[in-house]
Amino acid sequence: MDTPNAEVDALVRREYQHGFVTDLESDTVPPGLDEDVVRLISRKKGEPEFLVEWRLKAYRHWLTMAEPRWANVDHSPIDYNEISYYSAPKSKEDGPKSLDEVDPKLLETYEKLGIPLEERAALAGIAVDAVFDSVSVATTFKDKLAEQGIIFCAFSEAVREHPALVEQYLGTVVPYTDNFFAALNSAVFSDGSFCYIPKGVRCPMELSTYFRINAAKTGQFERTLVVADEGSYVSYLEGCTAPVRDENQLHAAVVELVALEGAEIKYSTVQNWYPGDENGVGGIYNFVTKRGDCRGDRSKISWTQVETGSAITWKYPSCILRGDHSVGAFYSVALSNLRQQADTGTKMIHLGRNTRSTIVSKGISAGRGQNSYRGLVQIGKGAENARNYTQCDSLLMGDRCGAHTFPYMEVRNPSANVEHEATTSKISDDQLFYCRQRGIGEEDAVSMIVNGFCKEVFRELPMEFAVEAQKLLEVSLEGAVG
Amino acid sequence: MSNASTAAGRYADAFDARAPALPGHRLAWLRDMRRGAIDAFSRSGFPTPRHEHWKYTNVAPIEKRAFELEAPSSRITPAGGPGAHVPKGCASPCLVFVDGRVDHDLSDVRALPSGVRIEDFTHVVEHDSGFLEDRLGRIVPAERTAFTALNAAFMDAGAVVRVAPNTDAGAPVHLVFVCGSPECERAYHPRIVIAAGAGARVAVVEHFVGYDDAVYLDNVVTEVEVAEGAAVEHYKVQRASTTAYHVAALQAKLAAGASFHSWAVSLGARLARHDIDVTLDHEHARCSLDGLYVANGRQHVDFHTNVEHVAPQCESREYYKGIAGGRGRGVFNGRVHVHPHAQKTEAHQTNRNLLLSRNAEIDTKPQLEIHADDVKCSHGATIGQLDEQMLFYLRTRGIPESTARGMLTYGFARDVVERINRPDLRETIGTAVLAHLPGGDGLREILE
Repeated sequence: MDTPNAEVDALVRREYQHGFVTDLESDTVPPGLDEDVVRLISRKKGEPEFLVEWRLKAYRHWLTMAEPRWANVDHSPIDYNEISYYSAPKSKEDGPKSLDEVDPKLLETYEKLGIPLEERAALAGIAVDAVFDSVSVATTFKDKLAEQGIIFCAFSEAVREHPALVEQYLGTVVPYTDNFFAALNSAVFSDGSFCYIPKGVRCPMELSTYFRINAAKTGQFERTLVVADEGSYVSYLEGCTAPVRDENQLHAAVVELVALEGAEIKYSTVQNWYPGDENGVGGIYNFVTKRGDCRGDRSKISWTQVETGSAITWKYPSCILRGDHSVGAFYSVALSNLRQQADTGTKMIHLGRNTRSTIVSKGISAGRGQNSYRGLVQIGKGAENARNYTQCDSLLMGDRCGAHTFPYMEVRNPSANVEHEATTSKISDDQLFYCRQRGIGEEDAVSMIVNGFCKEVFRELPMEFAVEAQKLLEVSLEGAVG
Repeated sequence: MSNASTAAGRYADAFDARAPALPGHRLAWLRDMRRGAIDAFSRSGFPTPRHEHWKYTNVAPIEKRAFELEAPSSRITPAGGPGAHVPKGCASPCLVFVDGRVDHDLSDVRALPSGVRIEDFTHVVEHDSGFLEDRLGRIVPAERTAFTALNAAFMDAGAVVRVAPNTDAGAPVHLVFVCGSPECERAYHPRIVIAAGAGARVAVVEHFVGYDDAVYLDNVVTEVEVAEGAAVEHYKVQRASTTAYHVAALQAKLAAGASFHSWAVSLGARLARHDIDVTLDHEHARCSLDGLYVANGRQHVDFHTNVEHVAPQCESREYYKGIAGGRGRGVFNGRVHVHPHAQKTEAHQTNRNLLLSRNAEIDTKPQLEIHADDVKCSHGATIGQLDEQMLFYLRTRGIPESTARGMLTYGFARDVVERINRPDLRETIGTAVLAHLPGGDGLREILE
């Protein structure tokens, strides 16, 4: 294999594009976690009694748990008392009412990120509920959505405005006892998004949130809850970038989706947090619990994700196919370059009759990246005629990276059909030669081949995300093949 | 934890009592090895389903039973004698063990080609301990699992098969273990060592059979050393009694250009666990692992295979099929690990399962861990049932449903049997498989 030329080398070593820190005064609680911190967070947000109690229960349960060690990742131990659990941008007491009231510095940050909030929202028809650190600062298109009865707002706002809905659904998909990081999130979650689509409503636009991690040493603990009532449809987009930080930042989010009878939720993610440098210094620890519950018959949940960032990604967006005829899908592209480690996959739990699931996972390993697919397909005793098809392919670039597959299949019903196939290969010299002899530069050829490799997943992404995802891959992979 | 410590304590006490009577007690190295093994076992105890490798297989029933570790003084053999249990087709050369001791009447290892030695393990310990000192525990380290540790501590029977360089051993070597004393619940710890010299060729068949309704534990360890350019075929036919427990670990270490073929079928035992490990640490080594597991009634069968691609330019192929009926449970875990620098590796794995009944379960986990880029690796796993259209086709031809199901099930299993390279073995093993398949009885009349 040739060595990459100097130009390519420079590209690979290029500083993280979105790396900058907005100089804002943060209202941050001192590092450390105890019941008082949990109460403080809750008080700051003016939460009702049930939520305080729930947070405390979660915190007490978290104390009894140990950090999981089974993932195929390697990192220095996390000191949970070194983390500050709350950070809100300083603002007027009542918070901004409109974009004019938003701190200009915040808006500037969004500019740098390429999210001209007002323009983009208007042009792309996307309602953006931007989460900057822990407090939502701007919400757009709310009125338009409200006309149809759709609730799309910051989580803390939902707690104030719609406590009954939150109480009804919070923690029903991912209980606080679920795992170490979900328990931690339940205790200290700062903010996030809440979305409710009423019966029979087809959400007229793609809903979107952008997450940013900004203040140093503040772990972000978002909580997202999407409820699609009977016969409704929603497509939800989540995308993120983060500034350069030398210390590892913990990110433990929880996403809960509930699809009632005949409802469909499409959840797409582009994740591009800071991956750390080529020596593995810095970067985000992304330990996320995402789960969807197809609670009603004929409901459908699909997860599509493009994971190019984070030093460590540890997430398994799952579907519980409880309703009869419900459908789950998981489409994923995970890229690990530099010293990134990705342990990701999905769980499809078939409980209802005639349930179907599809898993397409594409892993790309380059540099010294380690990429693992870990998936579970479980067919319960009562899941008559359940079907699953799983395909997980890995592409290796460079001789110091790794690609791993850990698919678990547990079948307890004799009418089930479960198929799994996996391949691992590198970009073949033939493919490269073919492109090169037609005058396509090596970089472009590689990016073309990689795009082809990921096509099945990109196809599932909403248009604007698909473009962004391709760009992301190109940037992340430049110079990875010599 | 207290349970594990009491079971571990029981084995430790039994070891102290039994140690002086174990073969090779006068040999310091063997004494140390056994002592180290029992200490390792005392520390670890039996694994629980919380161990990733034992996630689907709970060995608590083995842990709970107080198996006797010593051969009973008197031997009462069931009707027909042990000879009736020696599988048909086990022609010379063959070494038969009855209740943990070699039976010279049933064995026949006289007419061997020169350069081939087939000996009782205890005999080699007494007369040629140097050979074993260099090998025992080198391929399967005693502390690998709780069971390999127990085997290393208590091993008191087994076979040593040696083939000199550039020698073809000819006809397959049969090692038959007839187990299960009707008087007491015993644990057997046979150790098998196969060493093929450079360029040698040999086929070894391990048979495990048991008396009906006997409750016992087979805890087998097989170490296979394949020297440069040698070819070893290893067949394993597990037909322990359906009330017994069978745990086996096989590991092969291959030199450059060596080849190893493992073919295993698990038909018997209440609970069976097979670990098959192959290390390819020299270039151009090849291995193929084929297997079939049938879990019927309340049987639980678990196959864990692991191929370590350490050196470049090696090749591994794996083909496993499983059938679960009744309340049976089949478990398959196939791991392929390609080390850094093992470029030009080719590794392919297939696992197909047939789930025949409402209360049966299949758990499968093909696993690839790859640290090199210029490789071709794939795995595929399926879990399904008999094809309704094929059934319908047979029914339209007037074949009763149960027979049709039996035929399709046999067809599913047959292509694993076809992978046996030796025609005579294919015949006898095929018959044994048929007898254990759901609906196989009705089929036999048609096929014969």
